Amino acid sequence: MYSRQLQDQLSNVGQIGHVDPASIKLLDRSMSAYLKVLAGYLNADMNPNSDPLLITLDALFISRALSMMELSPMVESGHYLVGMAFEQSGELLSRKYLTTEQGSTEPLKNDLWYRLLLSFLHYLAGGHRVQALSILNRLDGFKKIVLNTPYAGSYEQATDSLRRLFNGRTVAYPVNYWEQLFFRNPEGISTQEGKINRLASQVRTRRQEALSDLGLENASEWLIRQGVRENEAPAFWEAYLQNLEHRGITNFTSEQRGPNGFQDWLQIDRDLLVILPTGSGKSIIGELRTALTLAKGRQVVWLLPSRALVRQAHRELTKAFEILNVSVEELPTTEDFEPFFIEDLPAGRYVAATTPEKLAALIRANPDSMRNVGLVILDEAQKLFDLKRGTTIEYVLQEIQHLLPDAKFALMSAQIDSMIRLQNFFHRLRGDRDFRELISDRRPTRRMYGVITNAIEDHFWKPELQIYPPGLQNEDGVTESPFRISLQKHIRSANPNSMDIVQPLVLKLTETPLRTAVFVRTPINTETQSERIASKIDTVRELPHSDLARLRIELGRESVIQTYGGKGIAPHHAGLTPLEQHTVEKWERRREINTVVATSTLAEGVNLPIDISIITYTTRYDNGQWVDVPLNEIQNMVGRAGRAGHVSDGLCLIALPSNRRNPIMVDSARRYFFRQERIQNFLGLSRLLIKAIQTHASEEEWLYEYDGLDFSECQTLVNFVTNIGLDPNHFDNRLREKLRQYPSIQDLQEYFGDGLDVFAALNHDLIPIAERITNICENDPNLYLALSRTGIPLELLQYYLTRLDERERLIGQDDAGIMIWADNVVQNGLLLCQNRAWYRNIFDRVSQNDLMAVIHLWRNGIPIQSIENQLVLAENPRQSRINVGRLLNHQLSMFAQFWGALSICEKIKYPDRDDYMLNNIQVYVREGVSTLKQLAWLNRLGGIDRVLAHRLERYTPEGEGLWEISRQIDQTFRRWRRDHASLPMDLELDDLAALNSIFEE
Amino acid sequence: MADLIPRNLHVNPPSMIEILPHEHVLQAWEWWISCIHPRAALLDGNCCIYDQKRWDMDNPTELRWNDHSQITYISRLFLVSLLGDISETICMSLNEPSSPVRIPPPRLEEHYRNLIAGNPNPDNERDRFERFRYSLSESLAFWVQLSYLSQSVRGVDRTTYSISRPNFLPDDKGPDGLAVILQENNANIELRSVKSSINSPKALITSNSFKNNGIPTDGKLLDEFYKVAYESYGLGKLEDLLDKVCRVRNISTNYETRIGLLGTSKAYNAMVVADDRFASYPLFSGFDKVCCDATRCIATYIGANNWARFSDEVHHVVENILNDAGVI
Repeated sequence: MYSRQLQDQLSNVGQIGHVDPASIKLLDRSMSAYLKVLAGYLNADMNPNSDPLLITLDALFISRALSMMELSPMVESGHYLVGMAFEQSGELLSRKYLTTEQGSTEPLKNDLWYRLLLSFLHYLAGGHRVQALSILNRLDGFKKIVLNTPYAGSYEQATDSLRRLFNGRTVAYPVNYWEQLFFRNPEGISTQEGKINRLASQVRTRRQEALSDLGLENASEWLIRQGVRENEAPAFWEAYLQNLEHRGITNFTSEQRGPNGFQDWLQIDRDLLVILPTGSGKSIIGELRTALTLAKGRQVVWLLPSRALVRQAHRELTKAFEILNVSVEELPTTEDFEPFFIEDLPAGRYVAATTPEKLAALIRANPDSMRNVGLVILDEAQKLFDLKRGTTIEYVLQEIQHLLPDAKFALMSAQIDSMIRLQNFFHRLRGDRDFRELISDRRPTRRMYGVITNAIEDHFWKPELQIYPPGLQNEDGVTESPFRISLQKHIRSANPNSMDIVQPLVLKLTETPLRTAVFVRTPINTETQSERIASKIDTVRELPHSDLARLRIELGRESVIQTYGGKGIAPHHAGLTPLEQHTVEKWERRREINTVVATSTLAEGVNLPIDISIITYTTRYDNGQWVDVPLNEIQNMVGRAGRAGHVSDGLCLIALPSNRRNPIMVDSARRYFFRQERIQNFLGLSRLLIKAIQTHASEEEWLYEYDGLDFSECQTLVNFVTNIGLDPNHFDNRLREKLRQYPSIQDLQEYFGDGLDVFAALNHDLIPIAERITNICENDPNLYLALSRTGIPLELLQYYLTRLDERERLIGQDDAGIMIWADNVVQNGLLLCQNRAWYRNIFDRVSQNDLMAVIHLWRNGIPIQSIENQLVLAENPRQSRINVGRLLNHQLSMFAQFWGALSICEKIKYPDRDDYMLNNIQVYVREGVSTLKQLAWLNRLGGIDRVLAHRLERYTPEGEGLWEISRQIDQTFRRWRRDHASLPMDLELDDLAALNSIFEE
Repeated sequence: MADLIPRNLHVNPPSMIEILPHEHVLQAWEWWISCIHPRAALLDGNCCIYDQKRWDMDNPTELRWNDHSQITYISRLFLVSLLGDISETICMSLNEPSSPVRIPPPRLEEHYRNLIAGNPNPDNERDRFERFRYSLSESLAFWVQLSYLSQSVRGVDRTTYSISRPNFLPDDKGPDGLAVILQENNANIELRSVKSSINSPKALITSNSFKNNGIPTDGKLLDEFYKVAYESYGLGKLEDLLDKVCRVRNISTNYETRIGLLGTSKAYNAMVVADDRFASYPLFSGFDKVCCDATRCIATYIGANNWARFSDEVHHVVENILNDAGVI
């Protein structure tokens, strides 16, 4: 703990009482109170012991004083610290003691409820909205717990009034006690009420300053200053601000305002780079830029790295803009060679949220569709440095810049360690265009760091948590007296490993109301550890029946998450079906389970409300050797603890076993927590090209073997060296021209400096590839086209083009008949290549025959269990199941490209036809459907209920084409959700339950 | 409400009824402070400071129902704590002039009248005496704590203190009272909770489940201290008490912030008023479960040779004083 932000707050508040920040005890006592409650939950001893009453008394003194002061930056800091003190000493405790029984005590006499109320009011009075929201959500949860108790009405009125206060509303005519207390100045009130009233009054005062900086009172002039002169703009902007106010977004942090205020970065003709920690309100910054662009009448595209994040952004943008008649949608384009939904973006004000891959497909298929886009927002921009995604993201940004020279870019990231690389990238991509930065490392959540190790007590090892005390920490610091929490549980092993010491802790934690994420090395570990811990828990909890029905339909068997979930713990890894992963996350959010045992994939998804993250490994086996896990990955995993707006305090632990000669002390972990490791890897295209040179891609046989690179990398490389024309005399110039457009290549040139002409060096290897392709395709332009559009190996494409001579025989056949033919072509084409390196690589775990059988079952909506029975991918049944899951989740989309390439070949060989028959075959293989109706249902259900989509096909209204079918299904789905009586009578009970699970999401 | 009015704004209209002249107030205080023994020291191995109160330096004794002058002084002190201005009382303990006890006409407020001279309940005459005894125990605890404050800060530079009034009409959960010693860089807070019993007070002090397993139950002195410390019990009451002690001494908001930031220290004073024959240190075993620092745990035993009789005697004198003043 504790970021520089907290130190700044201390310095500020210290000015009030002329106190040296170094002598302030508040942080230490507050953290100590939090840890004491944690130790209580663990039935553990804490040293040094804590007396939570001290922080209560300290906070009450300051609370009373602040409630009587005028607002100032010093007072705002004081409010933060008092809010924190009440939260840390009360929130964890409230999870145990705020139970239904408390509903028979009136709110102000309910001590824990009152403690949380004080925390909320102080946070909000100081303008610390994210923290206040955490408390409000907690109070909201309590309101639901005490339904049907004597004071249920009071709690409901109180919480609703607090929500209004949070949302910056005014109450003209208070109708109950709480509205009087929060929105008026009643007389004859108690000490307690008096303070509440004074704090609420400070909150109301803040609201007066609300949105004036954004031009609420003078939209026209304000917009002109920001570069927006369109006639309709002021009305739109005013309506947007009103909606902003209605949504309770009435004040902003200094990070959001920026050093020179909104007017500086909220300019229509400026690019923007935003690097703020998760939960700091990046989204609202992107939203403001979006609103300004929409005010000007231009369209906006948001790029997000995963479907889950796209959905989340879509929901938030809909809240912001739908009421203003702006179309907000998840871009329906698919990421196939021949994508679906490539029509122009709708006219008028429009916002699309999508992944870079889908936008890349749209740009390839219909580049003109984006002509009215004025702003592109790339969220999680650090993905530019991702091995798998970086090249595509760079390609998309580069293409948009090329297509839309006047569009603006906003890049947003939560990772401060990527700052310099992102700044460099931005400069290279955008040259000397005007841009601004909003960069800060101030996190809205507080983190406590420490280790879990084993300590000797009475000749036995026992698990011990050692936690750094508050104060700024660095890699070289020394901790004289960490907080120690010693569990009263012997470890049996004489030389315990990480899991031996973590297991007793996690077992205890799972039985408490705290939520924990345990990161383990491999998928199978997530399951075995969940099993070991679950076996020691007696209490069985009931899981939501509707979710279980949904899992049953998709899997055809009991899910492993159900097996252990009933004990409050579940595994999470990339070999689970997307539905299982989604359900674990949902259960964790809704407190159905407390503990997730996960691989690092959990750290890449949507944020969960985790209290404690525990890392059990710092090395991994990679390419035949043990290597250190990159610090960024470790920090990303520990950083799962705490979630803005839900969990203000996160405890981050690394398991480091001690032995008798080498007892682990907390300082052993400093390098994991406090070292800032800059991202050094080359990014995007440069990384790929360097790898290509190192693996001798320019050699004679490479084009046939695709050796040394991943299959997808080979495709990208081939795609890059085609599209430069067929005249070898121009290869050098055109490649140089093309390379120059990529920021990552400029980066590379700078890295090598004047000593090396990177362009010449790259062309030295790229030109031979281009020449070889030209030679091979000299007499076959169709082959060249197919290669440049798909990157699929030449022999296979040649075979496809030959087999497509049979096309006339397919006319008139139904989807099933066409699919059989296509499967046969792909099957035989692949067999032709079975001696090639790429073939051996991709079929290293699964045989081609098995793959074809699996795809058949997959497309026909057969539950996962039958697929698992068909395919044995390891001796250990559990490992085999995990491998099948990985195949379906991650490799199938690559295999589906073999079908997609066939479809492309049809179009190339038979141009300008309106009866293409192979359009759908790639998406069918990837998504596991065999008709357009199933595909439309799958999309409507959220993309993860494949078997249910098959089952619902029969309820599809008539329609032609995917657009129309999707529209009809959407109407049906909405009707069912609105009116359950309209659901078909013959739906099976499990289907009905599964639909309910989806409806309530 | 008297203690809520800043001292410099306090006015005594001529029509106020005097209950005790300032000389009587001062005499009672001087008697108390001169004969009450200072707080005992911590004995080795004890989990708390055990302070069995004694009066009279030459001939130490418990409170005695048959000592008329003692009964008279304590009756006056009871009335001062019940009806006097708390800030004036604190000033008197800091060697400033004393003030008389006066009330607005025509009579004592109803709840006080009920406490002292309320119509006896024919079905349960004991009720009335019990209520008074309870109030007297709160008053005695208050004076014991005030005398400790007065004795401990005497001569200490830039140090003052404040204390909350006795909890005559308890309704909220939480500690009965609070005293605070205010220094430049620290505030030392002592919570007090009071129990009164005419039998052995053992059952009121702690439960077996707390003493043996650390699981607190309701209504016990030490158990409730634990809940105050660890379960946020009585937060509203605590806040109210702090507010009162701050107001009484007109503490500035800057100073409040300062002591809050620098960190307060605190102690628990478990005060029992009962027959002296029951007094013993083991009554308070388990105090270490509230707080492991024994210097911060004070067990005050205020014993009388016959607590019920002592209370009745004081009651009688108080009633006479108020009758003489014509306010009941």
